[in-house]
Amino acid sequence: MQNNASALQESVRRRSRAFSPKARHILYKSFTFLLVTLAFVIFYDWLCEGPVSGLFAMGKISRSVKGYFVPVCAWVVAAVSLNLVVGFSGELSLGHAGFMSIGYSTGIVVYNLLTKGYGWENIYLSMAVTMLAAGLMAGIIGFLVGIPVLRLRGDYLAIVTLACAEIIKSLLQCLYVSLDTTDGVRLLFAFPKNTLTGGTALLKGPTASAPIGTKGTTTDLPALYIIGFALVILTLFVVFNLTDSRTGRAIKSTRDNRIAAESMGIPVTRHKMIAFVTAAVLAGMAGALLANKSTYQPANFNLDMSIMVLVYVVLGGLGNVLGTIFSTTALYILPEELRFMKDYRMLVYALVLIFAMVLSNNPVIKGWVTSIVSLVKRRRKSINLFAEESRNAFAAGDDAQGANAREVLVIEDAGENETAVQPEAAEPDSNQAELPEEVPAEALAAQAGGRLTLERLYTADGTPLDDETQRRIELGLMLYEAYVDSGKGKKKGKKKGGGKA
Amino acid sequence: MDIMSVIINGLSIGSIYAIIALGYTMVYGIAKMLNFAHGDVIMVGAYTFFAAAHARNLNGPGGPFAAVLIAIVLCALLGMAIEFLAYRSLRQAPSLAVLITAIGVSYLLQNVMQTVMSLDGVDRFFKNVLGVVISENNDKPIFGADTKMITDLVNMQALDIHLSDTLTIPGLAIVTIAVNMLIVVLLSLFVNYTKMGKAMRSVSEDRSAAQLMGINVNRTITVTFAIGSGLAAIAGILYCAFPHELVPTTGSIPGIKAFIAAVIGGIGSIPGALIGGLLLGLVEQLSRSFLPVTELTDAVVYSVLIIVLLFRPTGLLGKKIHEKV
Repeated sequence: MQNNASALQESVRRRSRAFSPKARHILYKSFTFLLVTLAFVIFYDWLCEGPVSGLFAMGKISRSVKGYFVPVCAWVVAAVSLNLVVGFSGELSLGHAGFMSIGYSTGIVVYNLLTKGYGWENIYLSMAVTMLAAGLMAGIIGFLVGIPVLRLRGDYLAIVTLACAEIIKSLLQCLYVSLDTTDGVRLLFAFPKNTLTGGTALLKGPTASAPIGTKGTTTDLPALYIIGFALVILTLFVVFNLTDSRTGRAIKSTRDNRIAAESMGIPVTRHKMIAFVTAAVLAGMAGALLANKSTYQPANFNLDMSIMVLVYVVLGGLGNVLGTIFSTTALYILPEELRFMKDYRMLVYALVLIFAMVLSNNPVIKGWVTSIVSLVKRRRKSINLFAEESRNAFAAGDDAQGANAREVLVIEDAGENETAVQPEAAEPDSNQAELPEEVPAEALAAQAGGRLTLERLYTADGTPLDDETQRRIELGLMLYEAYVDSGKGKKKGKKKGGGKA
Repeated sequence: MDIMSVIINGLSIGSIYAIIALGYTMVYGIAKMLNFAHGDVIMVGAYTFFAAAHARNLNGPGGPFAAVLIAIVLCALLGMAIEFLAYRSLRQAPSLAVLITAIGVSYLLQNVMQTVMSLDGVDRFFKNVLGVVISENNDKPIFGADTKMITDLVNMQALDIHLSDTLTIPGLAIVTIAVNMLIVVLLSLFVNYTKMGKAMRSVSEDRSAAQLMGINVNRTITVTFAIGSGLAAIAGILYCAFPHELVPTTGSIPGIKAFIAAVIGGIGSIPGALIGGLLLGLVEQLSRSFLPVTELTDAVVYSVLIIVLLFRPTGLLGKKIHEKV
């Protein structure tokens, strides 16, 4: 009985939507791509002080604002990729900064090798190769890290990802790389102490390295911004395609119920690994993009940075890509621009984390939110609520909502008695599709009254139901049919109760 | 570096990790959540001790002991408050949500402490406006952005044992190890032989069954948080005495390492926390002394965790968990 009721509710819910879920999802994806592209066009134009900025009267761009564009792209990519792990595969990774630092270091080495060693001129080409290398390296490390990590679950997994990031950080703090071009192009490595002499130092252990993506001595910001935008689009493409694929559904199923997924034959570890490694690759690319600023050193890629990216994800919504893009942009730029936010940034982040989690997980507060939402939607949903009442009546009056359901039934009984039996019985006809939105219970019951009779129902142990209960069930079904007809005019065949109640 | 003194150092640092790990392991065992903020309770404990020991009325011979008591009580209250305000409403929530909240609480404590302790002139405010001198001498204000040390408050050189010309067992190490052993013994007795301890074990085993048997689950969890946080205060004082400087982020590193110690020992097990803590302390001190660069110490310490979990996924003394479908 309960199953029947929830199936009714589900079908009611589905019918009340303007778009099918699939169409909504496609709209959502296209909207995300469109928005990102639009933002890019406007801001690129502003960066180059082109015609559109005049159109929007955005004025001359300040030096500090210029500095935001590329890091924002990097953080968006980092946050969206972390969302892939936390939101879609449901495992908390506290080691995202570790993969970013891998990408960062690899990026510096490869970029300098290409430009200074082999004399590549084209920034797009060399950055593309750099990013590929950084992503590849981070992916390999991510795979190696994933082997022990993904065997664990929940809190253990979180703490081990944290441990792995710390290991990566302390290894990178001891890594020295320099480029020697005197006798052919050679890379010199030293670990754990700096024993290198000569050549250009690329990675200098715990201290900051030289920035990349430069043309001569100046940073080519517009080019880097284009590269950043391309990376964001690539990330969106990868994440959307992964989550919508068969693999993505498998990943989500392991998140929602690991045991059920496992018993359906889904290899859980392999799917978690796919999400984890994809996220690592994207994080590595984001790290390489960050390497255009000289303000980072290995010690910066610590737990704080992982937490910061996690805050972006949590505020944007677990599993919500567009939300993550918004929250990352806002949380990156606001603290930089607002003095107050800058001093108390971490304080605000902490409160964001706590409130986002408590508000979205506490059943009481969730109930408030739901009731506010339903207040707003009340007019549209009035008929839907009515269907819910009929469901309560249908589920018979002995449970918590019994009293309420009985009241509804009394009204309906009256209605039925008044209209008595009508000649055309059985099938409701399609004229009644034109019911107005707001139908009083009596009228609806009257219209439906007497039309629908079921064969005698039986309880599970085979005793026939008494007349009272039988009529309640019939009434519930009548009301539902009336609702269905009024909603879409789509007729559903008369529902025969399966004989067992 | 003499290997004996390294080992003694490792055992005493390990004892501190063990005390913190006990708090983690009890909370994890009973509330089934990773209290990420535990490390920051350590920091609050050390700050409270610092402030209390500097306060004017507590500079007699018994002052430091009173300050320790104040720190323990305040941290226990703080632990209960955190549990009540942040975690209680998330009892039924998925563990991801609880973990993220705990991270939030951890950062909140750090930043509130940062903001409060960097208020210059609080001492002056008390003195000039309220007419109360809170600090014992004006050279050392309690509040202010400067780095604080508590080494002069916890001076235990009187207890040093000179074994030979080169080998001395510092009094602080003796006290730390003794305190640790005492805590482990008392806690084991508490958990195994008292009514509340029995309640804790039953909540840990099956929360809903415990509730059906009439155990007040919420109160049990609150008591657990109080005990864990009180222990954190002791650990905080010992950790800063070692000496580590007292800043708002002081607690995060020992917090993480102690959690790792708890995981290595098998989370939920009191002897496991002791073994894990001592092992981690020893590994850390040995690698710090014998590796060519200090940056690699953390890599070794964290690798121990990964290696242990690879071979024993529930830790050295952890019980295998059978999952019910």
